[in-house]
Amino acid sequence: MRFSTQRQFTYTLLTLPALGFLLILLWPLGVALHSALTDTVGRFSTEHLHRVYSDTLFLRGFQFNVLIPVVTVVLEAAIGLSMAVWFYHIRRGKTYWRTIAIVPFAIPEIVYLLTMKLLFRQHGYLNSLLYTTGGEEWTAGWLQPESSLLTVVVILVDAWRVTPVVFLIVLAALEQMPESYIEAARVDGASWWQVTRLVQVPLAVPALVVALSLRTIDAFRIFATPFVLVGVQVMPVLTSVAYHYRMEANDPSAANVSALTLAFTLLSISLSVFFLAGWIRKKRT
Amino acid sequence: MKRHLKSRSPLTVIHVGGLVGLALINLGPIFLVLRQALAPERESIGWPLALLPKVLSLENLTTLWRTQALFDHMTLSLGVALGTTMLSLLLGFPAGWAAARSRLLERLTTQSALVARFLPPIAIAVPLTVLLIPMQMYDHPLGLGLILAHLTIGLPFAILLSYASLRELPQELEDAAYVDGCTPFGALFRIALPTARGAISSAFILIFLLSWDELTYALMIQLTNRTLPPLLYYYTEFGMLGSASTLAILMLVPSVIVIVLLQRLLRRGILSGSLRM
Repeated sequence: MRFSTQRQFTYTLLTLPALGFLLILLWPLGVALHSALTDTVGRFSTEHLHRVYSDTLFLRGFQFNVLIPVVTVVLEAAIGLSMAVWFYHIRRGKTYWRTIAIVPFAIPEIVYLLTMKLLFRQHGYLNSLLYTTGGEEWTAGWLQPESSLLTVVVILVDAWRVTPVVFLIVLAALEQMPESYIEAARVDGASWWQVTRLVQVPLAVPALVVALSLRTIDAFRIFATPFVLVGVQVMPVLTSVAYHYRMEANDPSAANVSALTLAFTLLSISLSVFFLAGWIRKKRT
Repeated sequence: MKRHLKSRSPLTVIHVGGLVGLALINLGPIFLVLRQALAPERESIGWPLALLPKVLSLENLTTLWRTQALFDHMTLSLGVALGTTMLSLLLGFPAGWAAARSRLLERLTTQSALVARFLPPIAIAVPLTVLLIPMQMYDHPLGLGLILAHLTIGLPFAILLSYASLRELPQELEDAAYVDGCTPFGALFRIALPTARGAISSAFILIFLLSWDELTYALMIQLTNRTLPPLLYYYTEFGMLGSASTLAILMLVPSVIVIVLLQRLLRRGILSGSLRM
């Protein structure tokens, strides 16, 4: 008994610094909340909320902050799952191909975005290639503000960077599955499409749910992709709007309103995602 | 399955074509960065751009070295990343161990780490730009404020990774040590620490990279003493793509080492363990 109390004491002692630090995080959050909800003399006021929630930049940011993550997550799920099923069948040199597949995620985000900027900018490599093959009319304004392609390009670039996360988790799940499942289906005369659709995909669903619940939350925190590729004014999201308010307009209260709006939206999304993921997992067992 | 693919040639063609296409999409852009870095800056404003540079030169690197005190930025980046990693592991590993061993602390620790992991950095970064000023840590030449900010990312990872790996370590190992008269601290240093070497090294790599690549905090906290990611961002923003590409190559060096190491970790399934809730 004495030993167990001593151990419990040590455990608590060792946990305190880390927990303490995580608790300190509440302090900046409190400061942010205070700055968002008080006026210049420190009284409670919703003045900043009104101001920010009627700003067109913020409202456009909110729209993009819903549109981009939702489409990105759907794309990631589709591409990641297909790639995992495809890679499952590779026998020779799998390690090398897998390494190549995860390159966009393994390199620093800012480097990845630079490569995409080199490729897609008006006088970039993609347009150069199209120009030399087909002339002026083949080129397109991939990242031009007035272009209808802009949203598509930003979403694809964002989705492609994080698809490897989904891909890796699903592939790991597929590989843990006994090969006899597939052999049994094959013996019964199932085509490869039937094997994929009726055996592999259903068995990959739990892993996919875990991967997607993580990715959904990350997707809503989107910052660098639209910020680096086209800038705040052309395609704002809540994070870059907060950055703009704080660093360019020097308006910390407005920045806090934008950042906290994202934080609270995220909190409700993550709670619902985890309940949903738990519910799906429970239902399947 | 290989036999299956070989028996239908159209499938094989799609398969091989797909792999080549994937390699082209993922490696092609990296070749472009290398090409841009090794060509003089004036070539990046030409039209149409050639896939191969006309002249090869290290002009971008030497210009950066002369005008930007590149060495200072690199050491700052390295120092912040190392500082973040060491502090995260120093605080996070014991906490992760305690969470794996004590039922009382398990939920509290892992759930706080998860909540911190999912906080949007911007919600912390904006108030930090104000709070760090009186603490003399805003835009600090050694990046102290940035290390503090990066800890909010690194610490949850350190806790969760240590917890996930130590939970699989049988309690009996440590019980045996206790019977032999070991104290809980002794059990931590003599049993848990050596057996969790794999998890610690993977946490080390992951946290180092998270800090090395981090843009949001760095952009807002280090205004003049910049780490590499914001420096690269500004060069991209001002259209100096040759210099930006040179910085990108410098940033890639540790990442490439890590991709190779990551392969080994993936094989051992350490990452999937930490991602499972």
